[in-house]
Amino acid sequence: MFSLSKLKFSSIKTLSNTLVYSRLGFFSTSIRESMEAKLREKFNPTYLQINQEGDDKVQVIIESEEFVGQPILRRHRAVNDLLKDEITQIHAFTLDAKPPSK
Amino acid sequence: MKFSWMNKLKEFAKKLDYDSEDPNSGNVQNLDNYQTTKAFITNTLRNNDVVLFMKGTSEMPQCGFSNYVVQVFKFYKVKDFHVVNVLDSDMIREGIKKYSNWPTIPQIYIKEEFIGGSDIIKEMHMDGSLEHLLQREKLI
Repeated sequence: MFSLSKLKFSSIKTLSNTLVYSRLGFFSTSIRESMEAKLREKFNPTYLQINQEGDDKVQVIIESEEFVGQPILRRHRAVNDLLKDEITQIHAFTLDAKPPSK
Repeated sequence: MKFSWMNKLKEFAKKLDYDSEDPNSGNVQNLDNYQTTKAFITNTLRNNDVVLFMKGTSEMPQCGFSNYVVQVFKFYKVKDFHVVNVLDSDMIREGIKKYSNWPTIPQIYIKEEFIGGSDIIKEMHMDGSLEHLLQREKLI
């Protein structure tokens, strides 16, 4: 019984995340929120900063253990692929993706 | 009928305004689908060591990120970098994003290899790896 209710909760969480992503077209602030949610889930960053300038310019600075040993193009492609939907909706996207700084 | 594929190829080449002897041939205005766009991109990359897909021209960039890359290339005195102005053609502007699987402009190719966008060029410029690459490939 207990594990069944846990399962239900995670499904609801996924559903509400989906709703947030799907409403991107209406609310520009949710691009930031959506990016943050996705980046946290995938990269578990040690540092994350998302700056949004106006409606269509976003800067992401992210440090994560996931980037250790990865060449720069691969790090950027990983983030771009994850944030594909959001990036197509904005005009300018800047990314700084590094392993955690000591 | 037997050689219909040859006729199709001829039409295709004519449409593309493509002359295999001319390194800069291929008219962006004639691109009407992804196949011709892809051929144009491939041809451009094959015939030019350094290709910059950007907004505007190197004399008149239309975007800060594109301008940054132009200035970096000028700084290293890269000889003959070839510019494709994506503002000339929506087919190119969207086609290069699909071709490279990269969502933004500018895009830089060196010896047919995709290097990245302006962020990557900036980082490579700052840590010296761009200079190293350009020297290794004898582009400066």
